[in-house]
Amino acid sequence: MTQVSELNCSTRTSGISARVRVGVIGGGFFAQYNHIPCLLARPDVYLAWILDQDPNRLNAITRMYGVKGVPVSKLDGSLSEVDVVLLSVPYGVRAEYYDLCARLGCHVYVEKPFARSIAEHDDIAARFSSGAITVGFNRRYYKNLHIIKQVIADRMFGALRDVAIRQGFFSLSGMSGFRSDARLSGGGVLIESGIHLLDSALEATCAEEIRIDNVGMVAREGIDYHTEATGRLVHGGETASLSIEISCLQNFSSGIWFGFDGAVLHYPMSPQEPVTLRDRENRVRGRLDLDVGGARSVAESLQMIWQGCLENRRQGGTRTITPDDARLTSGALEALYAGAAG
Amino acid sequence: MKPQVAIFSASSQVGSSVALYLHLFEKARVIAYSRSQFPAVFFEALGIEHRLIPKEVVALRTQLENVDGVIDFSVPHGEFWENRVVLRRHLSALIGSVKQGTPFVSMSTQNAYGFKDNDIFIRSRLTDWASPYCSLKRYGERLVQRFGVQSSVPTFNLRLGQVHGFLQSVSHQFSEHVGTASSLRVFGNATDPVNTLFIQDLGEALLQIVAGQVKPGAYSVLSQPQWTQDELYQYYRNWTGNMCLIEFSGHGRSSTITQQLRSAALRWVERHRGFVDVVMLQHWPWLAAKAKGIHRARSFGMASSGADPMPERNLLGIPSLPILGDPAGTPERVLERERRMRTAWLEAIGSMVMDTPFGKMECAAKQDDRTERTA
Repeated sequence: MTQVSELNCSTRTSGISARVRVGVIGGGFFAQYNHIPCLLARPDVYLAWILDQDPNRLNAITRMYGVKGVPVSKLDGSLSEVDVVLLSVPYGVRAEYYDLCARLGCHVYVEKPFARSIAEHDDIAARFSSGAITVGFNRRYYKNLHIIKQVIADRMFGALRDVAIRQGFFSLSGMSGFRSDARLSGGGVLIESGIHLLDSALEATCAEEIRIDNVGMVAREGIDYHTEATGRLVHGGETASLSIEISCLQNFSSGIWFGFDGAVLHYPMSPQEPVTLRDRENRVRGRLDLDVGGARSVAESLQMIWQGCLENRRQGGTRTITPDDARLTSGALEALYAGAAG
Repeated sequence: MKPQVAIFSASSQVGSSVALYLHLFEKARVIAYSRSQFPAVFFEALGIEHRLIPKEVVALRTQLENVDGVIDFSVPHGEFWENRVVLRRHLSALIGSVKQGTPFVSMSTQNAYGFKDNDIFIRSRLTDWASPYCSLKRYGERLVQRFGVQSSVPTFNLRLGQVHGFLQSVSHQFSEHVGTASSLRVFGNATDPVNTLFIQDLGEALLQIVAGQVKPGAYSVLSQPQWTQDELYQYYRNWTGNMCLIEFSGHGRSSTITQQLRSAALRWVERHRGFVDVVMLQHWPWLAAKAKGIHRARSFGMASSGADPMPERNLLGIPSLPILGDPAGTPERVLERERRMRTAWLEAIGSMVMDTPFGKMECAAKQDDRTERTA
């Protein structure tokens, strides 16, 4: 047993200089089950430490993965040991971490949501050099989204007429912990999970502009439970009508429906599910597959986004999702929340 | 006079639906308890009283003084090694706060029988190694019984089958599958009994308990009489309005040795696909052509119908514990009540949306509307 431990230890520490050193701030569910295993699987990464303000959780994670745990009080010293920081703490407590990372020249991979408004978005982005921030919209790497993107770009079924974004999963207990405090979460189901579909729709259409005409929202103390909105998407000089329904108070068919002159395509929530052709009654009439690259699982998408982030650190450049790429998504959130506030 | 019931962890999918059923059909006065304010919006929209679970046992005891029944939907969601401790602490505090003689109902699960994920028929196993969930739930059942005896509280452990209802995720999945397909293949026979129940079955079972019509102990809760697979899929055809074709594929129990050998051969072929392809294509073209034809026909059928390549599967058979449910819960009645509940809930959401300031302004964001970057 001792030999195994020593071997692991020496494997971890040898050749550290050749690897990108990563620190993790925030050991919540997604980091624990996705980012940390992803980083540990990469030979070009040295996972230097994990920081979490909950000592019990930190203890459990360090035991689980054999990575050094760092208490919050030792953050300053620890940041100088790493090249990239994964920031997976709640939206509302990130400000001081941005400042520290920017001052020490660390690259940052930040989980969504990035910002609730364009002004806030630009303010964060301005603190870092170009390519030094990766915004964690990993679903942009899904193969099924690439298929939709290709169909729209090639006008395979004619012009895009309408886009319907719908996410409905009834859950009154899923928004516990920091998610039930708007100061930490930034909002409710829209900013917490609906943002992925919103971002995917903007990415698939290569939208240049989003206009929100009407918004109805069920919200309390800054937490939104249900949003209905209509508007328009401008892409490639054309306009498509837009409808949005994001709810944790109802169950309904979820995904994005892209209505073309000649067909309706459904983009599913999961990377494993296929893009389907549907009739106007939403019945599946066939599946669409194209020879495009992209991830078929969450794990694969994370590998891809991390690849870009790490290359940016090693070689410079903007090979990943930068704040510039994600700006319209923050703008869409701003428009929706502003519209609801009247 | 309507009984007064306290529902703990009322924010759970089943707990909130039961509260809605009892309240909407005026079966009971419900007090919904949860640990956070987040679910309050649901209960308040429906006119159901919502309270936070008091941290002090004395306060909890006072609040439960006048209730006719306490119903607990709590499930710990921590790490495996912590869950037993959390559950013990919770049940001890809660049952200790219930007035003597007031029925306490704990929600267990059919997993507590000890069947495994790949079991086709419900099975009772003596050991609880089937899953950590089974083990935890059996532990919870024992605790409920023990604490009940200590506090002179009559206790009930209800092993729930798969709970359906318009707010349940399983019903959402069924609606998606049945509602968007032209045809579906379902594992088993049309007449096989399924381990399902609807919210009203549970609601009626709870009312029987609160009314003192049921002796303390452990029970299964299922639709009564148990629905068949055919009834279940027919229900979702009616619910979604999509009359898709349902094909029942029979089940493994009746498989012959020939069928088992065929399955084993197919599994072997999957593992050695490359070798099989090369040998078949080069040396046995007739077999290759036939296999390709079967494969293409099947793939095309699935792709064009949208049918799932794997058949849908439900847990079949009759459980060993006595069954509680709604004896009047015919599929027609369930459909009618589910529709009424959904309508009431959608109206409640609609009224809340209208209450929120409605956006009249146009809000827009442009990708190129960029301020000067300083970095």
